[in-house]
Amino acid sequence: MHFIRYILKRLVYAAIILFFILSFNFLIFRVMPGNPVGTLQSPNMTPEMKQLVAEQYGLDKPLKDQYFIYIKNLLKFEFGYSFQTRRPVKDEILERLPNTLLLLGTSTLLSMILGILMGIFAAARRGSVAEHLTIGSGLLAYSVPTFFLQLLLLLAFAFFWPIFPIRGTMSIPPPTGFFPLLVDRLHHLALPALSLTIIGAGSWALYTRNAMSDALCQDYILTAKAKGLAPRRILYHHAFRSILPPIVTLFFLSLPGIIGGAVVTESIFSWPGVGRYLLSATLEANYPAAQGAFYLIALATLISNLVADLAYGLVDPRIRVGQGGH
Amino acid sequence: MTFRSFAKQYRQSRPGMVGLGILLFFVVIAIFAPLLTSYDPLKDMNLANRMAMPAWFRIFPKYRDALQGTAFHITADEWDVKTIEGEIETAFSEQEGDDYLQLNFPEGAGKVLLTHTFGYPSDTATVFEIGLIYGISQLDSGNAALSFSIVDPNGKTYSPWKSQNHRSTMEVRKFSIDSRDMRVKTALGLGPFGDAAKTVFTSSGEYSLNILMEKTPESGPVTIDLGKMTFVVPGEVHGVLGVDHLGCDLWSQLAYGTRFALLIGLSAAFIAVVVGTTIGIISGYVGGFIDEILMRLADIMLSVPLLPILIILAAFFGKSIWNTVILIAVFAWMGTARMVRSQTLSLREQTFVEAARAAGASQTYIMWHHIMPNVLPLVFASLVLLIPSAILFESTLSFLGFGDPSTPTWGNMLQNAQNFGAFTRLAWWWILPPGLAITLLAMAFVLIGNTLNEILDPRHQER
Amino acid sequence: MRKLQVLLLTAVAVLVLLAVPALAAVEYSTKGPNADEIYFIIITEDEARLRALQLGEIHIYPGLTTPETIDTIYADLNMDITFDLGFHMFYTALNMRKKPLDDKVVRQALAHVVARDRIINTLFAGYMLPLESFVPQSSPFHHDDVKHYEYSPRKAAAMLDAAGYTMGPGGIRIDPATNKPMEEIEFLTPTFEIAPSSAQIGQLICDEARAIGIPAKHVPLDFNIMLDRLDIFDFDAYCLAWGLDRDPTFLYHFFHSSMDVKSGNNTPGIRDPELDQLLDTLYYAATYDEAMEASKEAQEMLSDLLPYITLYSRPYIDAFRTDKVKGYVPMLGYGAANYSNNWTTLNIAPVTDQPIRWLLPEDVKTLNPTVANSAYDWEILGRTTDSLMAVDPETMEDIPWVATGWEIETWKPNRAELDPECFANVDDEATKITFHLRDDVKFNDGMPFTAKDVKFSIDYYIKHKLQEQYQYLVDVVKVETPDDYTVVVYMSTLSYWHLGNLNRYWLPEHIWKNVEDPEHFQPWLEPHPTVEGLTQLVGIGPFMLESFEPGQYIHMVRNPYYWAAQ
Repeated sequence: MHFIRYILKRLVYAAIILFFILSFNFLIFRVMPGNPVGTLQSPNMTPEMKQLVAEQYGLDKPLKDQYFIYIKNLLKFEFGYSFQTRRPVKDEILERLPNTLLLLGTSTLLSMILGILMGIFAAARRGSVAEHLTIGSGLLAYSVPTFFLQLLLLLAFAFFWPIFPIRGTMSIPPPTGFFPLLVDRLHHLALPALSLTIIGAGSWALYTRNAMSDALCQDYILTAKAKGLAPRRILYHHAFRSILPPIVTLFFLSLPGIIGGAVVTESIFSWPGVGRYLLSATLEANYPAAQGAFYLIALATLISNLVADLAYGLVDPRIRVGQGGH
Repeated sequence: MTFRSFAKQYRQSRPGMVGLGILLFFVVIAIFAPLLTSYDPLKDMNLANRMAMPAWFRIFPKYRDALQGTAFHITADEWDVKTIEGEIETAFSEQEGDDYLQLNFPEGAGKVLLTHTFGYPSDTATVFEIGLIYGISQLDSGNAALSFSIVDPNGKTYSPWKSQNHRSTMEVRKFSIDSRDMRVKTALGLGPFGDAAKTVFTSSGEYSLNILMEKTPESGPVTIDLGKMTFVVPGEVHGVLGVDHLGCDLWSQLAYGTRFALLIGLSAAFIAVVVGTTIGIISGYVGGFIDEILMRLADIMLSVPLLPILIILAAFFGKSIWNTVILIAVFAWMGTARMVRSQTLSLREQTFVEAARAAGASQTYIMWHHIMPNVLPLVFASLVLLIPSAILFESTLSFLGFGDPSTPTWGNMLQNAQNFGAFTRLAWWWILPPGLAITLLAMAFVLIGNTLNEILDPRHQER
Repeated sequence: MRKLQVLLLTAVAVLVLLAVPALAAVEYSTKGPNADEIYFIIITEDEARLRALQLGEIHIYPGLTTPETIDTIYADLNMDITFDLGFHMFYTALNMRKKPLDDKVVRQALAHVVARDRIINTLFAGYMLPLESFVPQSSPFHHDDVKHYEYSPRKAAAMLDAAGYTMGPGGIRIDPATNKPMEEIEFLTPTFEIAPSSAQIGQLICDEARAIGIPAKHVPLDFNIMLDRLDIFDFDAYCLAWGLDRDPTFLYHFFHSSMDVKSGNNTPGIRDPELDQLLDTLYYAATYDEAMEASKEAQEMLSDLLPYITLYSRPYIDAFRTDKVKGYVPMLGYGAANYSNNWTTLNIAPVTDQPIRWLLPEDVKTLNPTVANSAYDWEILGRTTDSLMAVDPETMEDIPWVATGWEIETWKPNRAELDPECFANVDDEATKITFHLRDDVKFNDGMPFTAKDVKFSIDYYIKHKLQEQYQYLVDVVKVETPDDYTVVVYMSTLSYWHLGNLNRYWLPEHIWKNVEDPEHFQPWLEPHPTVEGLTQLVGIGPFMLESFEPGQYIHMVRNPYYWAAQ
């Protein structure tokens, strides 16, 4: 009832936002200066031939026509052919998507687990070293530029002490056998995931610690303590459970930042993912590729925002019951 | 609360004071950058060898003998002139403010040797750059030629350069005898990858620079004007933080970069907050349709992944500091707007506002005179907390290559380090300082902002 | 001016002499390939490449430019570096359509403030060859007796003063034609990220120009945006480099007035009737001597008119781990590791039992030979094909290869039969070339390579207007195959260069006759119709594609049917 209305409202908003994003996506790449044909130059190509190339790429139709074709295609997930490789953009993105998901998934998971545990620990022991450490790492998470941390890790553990590989997802050619392959991939995943985890964990730790501190002051906790329940049980069963909803919501809200932030990480570690694809496509004025990648990233952002809203709606009793209405 | 009670509360917060201290440190550097540095961050090149280390590295035993730069001039009167053949007259002339040694050769054969000895303090060199300025006037027939050589302490002669056979006059020109030049390497009998400087300078001691001037017998009188000679062996160490790939002083870049970091951070955050506050107040107070539109707009802008958008827009709008500032601001106002809006919503119901409405005050008046002053404290804290994000974003954009390369920002320093081989060289003195500076400055603002939040947030006050 | 001529000539002579002993020392076979397989490993970051070479993850590192890297490798005893002059030219183009660069004096003054030596020594630690002519030193058509402009800001200032460009307020000279301060010159270069040295050079030149009163501003742009502007000639000056060839036909494309059209290569907009005549003679020269004369005169004239200020030519510096590979052959113009260097491809062999690992500096975009246009695509594709003629690594002459011989004759084309749209120029007597092919050449799927494949390929490129190959075949009227091993190609014009234009990628008719949409065809992904285990990327070259992991590596193996095998 009210909840259904809430969901519907959110879906409608999402659709509107999607429309704006699509249009923006289209315009910005068409209007942006940058000649995709330019990179196909060779000293001996005559002007007639260059015109031919422009025609073959469909760059000669009026903007309006291009727009409608574009909307139609995008809704079908048809991204066209990359200007550079002439391969379907969809294929190229699909090749890279698992890499991005692997990196982001691993680091998000690890940073959440690590961060939350740190936060709980710190909240339980106020004024301790653990708490200071947690607050400190939270502080660093906000201050250290991600790319700098990554550069440092690279410098230290790939150049100075060549413990980890400098780039890529795996060795070439990849080792055969399940376990050697697994080890090799983990070896390559280590530095990029580590850098993202460190930064992410800091934020989670700080948030969890603050939320837990607040929760632990609540009346029902005092009641539980008075009742003589074991401290650990109080901690995990009661206090933590109570802050679970906002944590879940926060998880979904943090996704867009993570998705977007992949660009820098993938760039530094030469991780063949969607973020890096977007970056190089933008620089090359490779419209179809850049549009496809951007569309996917924006879509992922939109969906995670939507899910966050839904999760919030499920969790917040005010919305379920339909009270107020912001 | 009064400013005094605010200051008192602030002083009591340790993190707040630490943050303030760090900020002050950077502000001082920013203001006094010209006094603290001796070089132009981007224009003064070749101060030392590519990626030379900081000078104070020499404390460490490993680098105690690191090559220090040698540089000197040889002016017209510092040459030791020895006539070998013919009757040559020397004189001093002046052209356009510079002094020249003039050697007048009469008809017939002529040969003269100019020598200058100097003490060279190291037992090696990586590069030598010698500037030879001369001109030939009054030459109608026959040939004249110069050749340059270096004699090491053991008496071995190296001849890295010979002039062409002059058959006519030549205006005064500067010739560069650079150890990296292929022709110099060839003249010394080295292959394309040989090290000419290392070959010539093998031990410390007395070296002499010689210029031999020759004139063929059948030629008429000739006059050769010799200008100031420059001799530079750039060192392996320089300055507070060493140099980059072009030999520009890194400490200068860091110091002037402070100005940009502060400027960009403050401007972007300021603009974002002004926009956000305005929208927040209007949205919260006026409500209704306008509120819906503005908040939907905020939603849309929150839904776009920030970095990809910034990359695309930076590519579109071009790279200048102000473009970056505006771009960042445009995507940062939403948080402030939401916060101010919820504040405005609760303020709207307060009695003093109702009273003003009853008295017939216009919406604009109320928003400006009643709402705004009351949201300001919180806005201020939010401003401070936005600054680190702005600084971080700008440095990330610069690092990815979308910054303005003519400005010595910290992000550009890191980008150059990556592009020009600092990692291969393990030149951590190039990589660490700018990154640490970004971190510290951002951290300072976070500490200050958190402290402000604690003190000024009415919710916090209720605790 | 003959003064610097001697100096430069000496320098070049010495450098060439340096190269020749290296060549003479290397023995190479014309049979091969000596390797069973090669892994081409894609590493796009400079630092990572060096590290990979040091760790033995790659054995061959082509195209070195960073001085640090070169010095580090040179110091390593396990590594060898080859040094070859290259067909490469880095230049600054000046827009002669706009003020103030329409005045020759201004262009020549600018030439006097380009500190070539300083640029090369500071930015590249000396690892570039200063170039003042319009054909790189590595080409036999290079001519050194051109006008030279030594670095002398004083001279530049004097020239401008004499021409009436008096110094005005703010340090900007007044243009005598308009009596107003000179218009600012916008100097475009790629960004520092993409091409750091080019951007730096742009900055340096602008600083020097301003110092003598010419207002100039350096504008670093993203590469595609820059090319966009160049296409519509929206620039004042820019810096770029060309990768060229042995033949100087590019002079026609760069400086002939007919190429001063939108998207044409005559970006400076030079329109000089006398120069046009020289370039026409060059482009349609009937003999080598005629071409040589024309190229010399053209270079002399260009050095006076200065549509470009050429800066340097890049030598190809390639590194090899001698403890892992052997058999590389240095080659003038291309270097030891380039795909145009047939001899290295045939002779390279592993020293250990580890297969050869060859660095590919950028990702391969496509392995479709009809559309591939990036040098990195061709590093792979070039090894899957073979050419009718090979180039002798020492003399640069054409020698028989897949073609055992050829005859160049003339014929009389019938204008009435030719579509004026396709054939703007028709000579009364045009070139006709007859090739005699070897009878033992096979594609890597075992099918024989015959004259019909040559005819099919040429017709196919023309029919589908596949510009990468077609641009060299524009003057082809028809191709005849009197028998299986004879091909006769009829051109519409007479030119010495037509022979060189016919070294194309030979498509197997039995595969490509079924391909209607060559643009989007991905032969390396389609299984071969009859032979199991092969793809439809089929060629007559010494190697064939085994597998391709985009972004990671390409695995090539020996073509079991290669004709020049031992």
